[in-house]
Amino acid sequence: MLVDIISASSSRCRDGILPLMLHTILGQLLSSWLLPGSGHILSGRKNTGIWLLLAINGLWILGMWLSNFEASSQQFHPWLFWVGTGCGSTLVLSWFEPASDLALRGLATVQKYQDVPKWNDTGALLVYCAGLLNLLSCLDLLDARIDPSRRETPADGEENSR
Amino acid sequence: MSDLAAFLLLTLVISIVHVLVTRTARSPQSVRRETTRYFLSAAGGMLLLGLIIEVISELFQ
Repeated sequence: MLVDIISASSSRCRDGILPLMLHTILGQLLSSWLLPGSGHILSGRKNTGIWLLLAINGLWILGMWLSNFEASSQQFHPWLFWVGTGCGSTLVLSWFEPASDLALRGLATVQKYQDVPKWNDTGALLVYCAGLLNLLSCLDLLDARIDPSRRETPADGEENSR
Repeated sequence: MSDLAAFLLLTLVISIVHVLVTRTARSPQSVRRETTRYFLSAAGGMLLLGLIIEVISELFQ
């Protein structure tokens, strides 16, 4: 038995950590959290993954662009920011604080406040919706692993590694 | 008009994700057809409801 364990461990070391991660549910969930849709692609549901990747990332990128990256700032949106972290990229981006220059410190004038772009709040809304939708897609990934029979079978030509 | 465009975009993405994560082995329709049906019923229903509320509020003013 010890020999089996040692040979299995050495086999894992030989294959590397990356292929191992790709086949575990935790690796797929982490991947899906950081890049929405990628977990589905890794689990073999390529069409679903590509559509999720385009839809959620498109919403996230558009939202970040419209909100001037304020949606990734805990300073501007202290509570809603955590909704946006449903997409891991929001959390990663917040470490760089790209919107810190936009903060009005001290007594901001009314004129300056009115300079905030019209689409700013809409952009933040899009990012936070993308975060919630990505949580949903991560739950779908987990659910498909728990009971694969509930999910559709992959289309022709799609490989299913589950 | 721009608000309407943002609303429609958001509803479209929510429709796509909803259909993709709730599909089962017994889903009869194609993804595209199911997404279109969901989008039209969700966005159309909400717009219709908004229109009815607008009309009622105009009537009572």
